[in-house]
Amino acid sequence: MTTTTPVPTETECPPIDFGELKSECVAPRPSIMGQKRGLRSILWLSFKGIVRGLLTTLSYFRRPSTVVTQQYPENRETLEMFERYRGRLSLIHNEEGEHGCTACQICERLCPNASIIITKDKKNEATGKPALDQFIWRQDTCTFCNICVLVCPFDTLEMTGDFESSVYDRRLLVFNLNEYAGPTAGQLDKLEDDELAKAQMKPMKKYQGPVPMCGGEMDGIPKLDVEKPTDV
Amino acid sequence: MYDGTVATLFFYFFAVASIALALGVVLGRRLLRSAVCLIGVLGSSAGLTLVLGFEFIAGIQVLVFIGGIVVLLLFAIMMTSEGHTFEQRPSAARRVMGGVVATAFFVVTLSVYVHTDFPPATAEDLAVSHEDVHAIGRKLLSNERDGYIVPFEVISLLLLAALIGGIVIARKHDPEDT
Amino acid sequence: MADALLNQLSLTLSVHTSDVFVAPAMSLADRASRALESGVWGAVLYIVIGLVAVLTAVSVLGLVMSYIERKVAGHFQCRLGPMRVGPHGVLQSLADGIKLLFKEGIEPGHGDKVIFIGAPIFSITATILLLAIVPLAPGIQVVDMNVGVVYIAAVSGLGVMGILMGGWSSNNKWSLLGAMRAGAQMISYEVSLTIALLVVVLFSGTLKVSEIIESQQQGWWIWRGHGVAIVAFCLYVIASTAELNRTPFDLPEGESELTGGYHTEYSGLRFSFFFLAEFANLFVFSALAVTFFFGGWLPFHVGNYEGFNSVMDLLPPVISPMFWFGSKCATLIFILMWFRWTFPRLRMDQLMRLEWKVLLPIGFANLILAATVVLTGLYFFPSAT
Repeated sequence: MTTTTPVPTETECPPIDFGELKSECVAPRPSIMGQKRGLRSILWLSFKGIVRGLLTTLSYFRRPSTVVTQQYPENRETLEMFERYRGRLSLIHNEEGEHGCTACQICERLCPNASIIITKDKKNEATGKPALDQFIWRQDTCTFCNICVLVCPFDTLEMTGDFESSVYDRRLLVFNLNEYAGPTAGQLDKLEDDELAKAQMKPMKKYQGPVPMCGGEMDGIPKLDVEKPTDV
Repeated sequence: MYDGTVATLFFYFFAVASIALALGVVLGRRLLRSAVCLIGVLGSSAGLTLVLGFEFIAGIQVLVFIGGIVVLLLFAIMMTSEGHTFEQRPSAARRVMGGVVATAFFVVTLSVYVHTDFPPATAEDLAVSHEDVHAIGRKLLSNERDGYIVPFEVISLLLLAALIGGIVIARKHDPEDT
Repeated sequence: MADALLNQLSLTLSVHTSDVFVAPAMSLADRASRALESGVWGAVLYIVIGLVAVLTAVSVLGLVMSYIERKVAGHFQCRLGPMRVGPHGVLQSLADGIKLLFKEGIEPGHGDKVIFIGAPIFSITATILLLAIVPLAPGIQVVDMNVGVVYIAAVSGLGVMGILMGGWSSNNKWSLLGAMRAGAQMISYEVSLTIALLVVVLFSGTLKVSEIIESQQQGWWIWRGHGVAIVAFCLYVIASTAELNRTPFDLPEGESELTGGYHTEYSGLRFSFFFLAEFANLFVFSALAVTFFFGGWLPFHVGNYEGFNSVMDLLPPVISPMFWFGSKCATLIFILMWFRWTFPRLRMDQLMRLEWKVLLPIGFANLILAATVVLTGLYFFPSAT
């Protein structure tokens, strides 16, 4: 009679055999379920979690200062939108009212739904370089994806927090973003003659046209079929 | 609420409701509607016991039959019916068998009814309170001559067996056990 | 005929409005049974008045509770809740009620119309029946049965039927799934609920609700039960949250997977019936917890500290029960709302495991322990009887 050696009993869970995948396996995140814990420890952790959750919500309940709700029409004067909010595209103008857009049209080409249309003067008389004529942004088709802002090599575009853009006519959602047609701020600075520089800046209005969607002429905005918007 | 016109009115109300709804259970061809009618039948019979003053019986009736059995029935209908809940036209054999069983049951009930004399309740009978839960409890668990401890325990054992059987059936089988 | 009617009216009205608050020598339930037995017209008048009173109570309860719920939820989530209709939005739920009243009641095409219409009525009837046994103050209780606890267990089971009927007759898979979940969940947790209540029944030795309150004159059962009652109370709170389909257990209407659960297809007044039933149930379950564990309308007393107790008794006897019952009830409702807006939803298998493998064994062990405590007379405070 030979006594068989007792098989070593596995009290612990046997380690899972990952085979060749072992090197790629990531250690499981420490959690209540992942680690081997006693019943008391699990109960204690669950209890702690429940109480912590309750206390968190209670702390919000107790302090009305944590309320984030904006009472919009009432606090219109003091309302500050978040920096990351994308309400409306705008072309940055400096203190002298000069923009930095070279009319490179990168934003126009990358716009996923063709909401940006840029017309340019191929060769400016004074600088001899291309100059922006019109920066048209169609808010009615824009998805506010922010690509134009990201790709602009001169950082001249930004999204502002102005969100009150409802209008009664969607023709009014087509904006001319530049305040003047002409060369960039840097090119204007290089011109020695101030008078000459001033002369290059042809003022543009917010609604310069053209009117989209074959709409009729309105409020002095010329029709779409007008080839070159006339200065008013 | 043992006598008086109101009790009589309530009696007739519950009696008529229970018969009408029972007919609805049998004659209705939508299974779920029949089940809802069955709730009504059981509810009205609970109401009848309530009119007689047996509050405990009425409560247990609602608790066990409506809260337990009809809900189980509804679950069974919802789980098993494959899209259609209209009952198919029963076959001839089923009709004959059903008729035989129903007639036999009716004959037995009628014979019991005919051969029993129902004495009118005396004032003493009416004065006895039917609401004493303590008395019911004591009687149920007493081991004296008029106690019901043995049936109670037998029923408990039966229910326990049913419970264990249910667990065994529902248990996940290991593929190795076969 | 007319004279008799007027006579009965005055009798019934006097039965209801005369000095109920001042000297509750005769409880509302007794008065009701007297009115019922006084004759046919008395019974009819009693039923009509009772119906009007109960419907008003349920509607007002639903309006107030839904406003409070939304306000509390808002502040738990760093929001404000309703703010526009009336000062701080107090009229919001009234506006919503009017809106629901005027909305079209849409019926699904191939559903079972009779059951579809009947389901919300069934649901709210169960709630109203349950509301009848809540003792609001000494004597102010519509039904005071000898078998009150059996009644509670029986009637609270009826609510499932309304939900099952609604889910089935909607002819919509989400509704049906929601109803099945609701049914399974409510049947399961009802067991724990009843077992938790049975502990108090063991302590007080009666099934009558008013007597259960009176048995707590010496101290509330939650303190006197040697911790057994505290366990029972915790079980009760968990089970009633599940019974109410509130958030840690709101799988029946889990919005993310079932759109609206069993009331997906309901609109207008029928939806508002389900809604009212839900909120009235919230009140009823809190009120029952107060009745069974926190002494109902009894004021807060500590043992034999006469000074403290007399301070607690300062309120005049008319207001005192209302104040104590109301404040206890409001606290419990707040706790249930706190749970709802804090915890995430469970999974269905977790829900069932919690009931059958955790709560039910604890409940049974607790019941046996309670029986031992009662048999050995180990109450915390010596009872007067």
